[in-house]
Amino acid sequence: MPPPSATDLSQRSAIAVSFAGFRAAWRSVLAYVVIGTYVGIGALTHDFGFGLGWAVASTALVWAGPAQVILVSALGAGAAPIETALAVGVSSARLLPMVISLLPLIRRPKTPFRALILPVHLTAVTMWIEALRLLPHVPREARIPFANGVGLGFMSAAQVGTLVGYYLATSLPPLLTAGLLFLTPISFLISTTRNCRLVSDWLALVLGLVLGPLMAAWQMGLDLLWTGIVAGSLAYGIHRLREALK
Amino acid sequence: MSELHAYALLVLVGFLPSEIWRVLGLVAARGIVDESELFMWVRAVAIAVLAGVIAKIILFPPGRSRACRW
Repeated sequence: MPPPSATDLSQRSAIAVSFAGFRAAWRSVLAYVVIGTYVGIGALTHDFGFGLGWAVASTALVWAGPAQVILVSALGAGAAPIETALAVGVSSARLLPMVISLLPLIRRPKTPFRALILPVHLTAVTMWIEALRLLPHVPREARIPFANGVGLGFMSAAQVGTLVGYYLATSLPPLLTAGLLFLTPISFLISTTRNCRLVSDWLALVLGLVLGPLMAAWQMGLDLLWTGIVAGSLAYGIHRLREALK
Repeated sequence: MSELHAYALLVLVGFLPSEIWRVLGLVAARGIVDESELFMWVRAVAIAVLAGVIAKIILFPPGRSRACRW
């Protein structure tokens, strides 16, 4: 999708800008990937005996696919709440660097704290990928409503998926749900590749792909956060070194 | 599990453990300016985390291996 033109967005109201973000989300292939993922999550939620209202509330409140899979399967299988909370917390640690790298793009010196609550809650992999790609083309004063629109666009896609999955739970072939789950990492990979601009971005992507499974195999806990810190710092360090040698 | 109990668990065990990272990010991002060096480092860390998630899901599909909670 072509990025919205800057002059166009700076003259529109916050609602119109949010709507532009909402539409940008639905024009992204990731919206359909989100639907696919959440069909799987909706079906899972149904199978573990939770209500439809609970499924919808879970997508709105937790808003992190892996965390929801863990939450539903652990609670449904009778795991202790504290263990479930820890597993959910570990799986959602990836949100921390995403929020930190998104905020400087949308915040202005006078932005009140409360204006950041919604975009921060809406931050998830999909929203982060598309926000990073599109926000540089959006005038700074329009970025918060635009990011909210993108986030709400993806969340509405997720809710569509949740509802469809919940209702079709009994008739979905397991192979289809497995296929849908495989679509997610592939599309995340392609979208992230498209977003890489700096040498450090590319290095971080490649190093993360290699280190992630190694750290996981090592079973050290919080392996994704360590992957991020080690691979990200290496990538940044190499980038700095290249700059210094120029 | 009663209805109320299920919603209480959703908030305490699902919502809060995820949201805490977003709130920590909000606090930690104070004072970071885009295009700054710190911003570039955090961006590299975030991309590496996502790459790690992707590689793990591809190599160890969820549900098959206990080693990998994605």
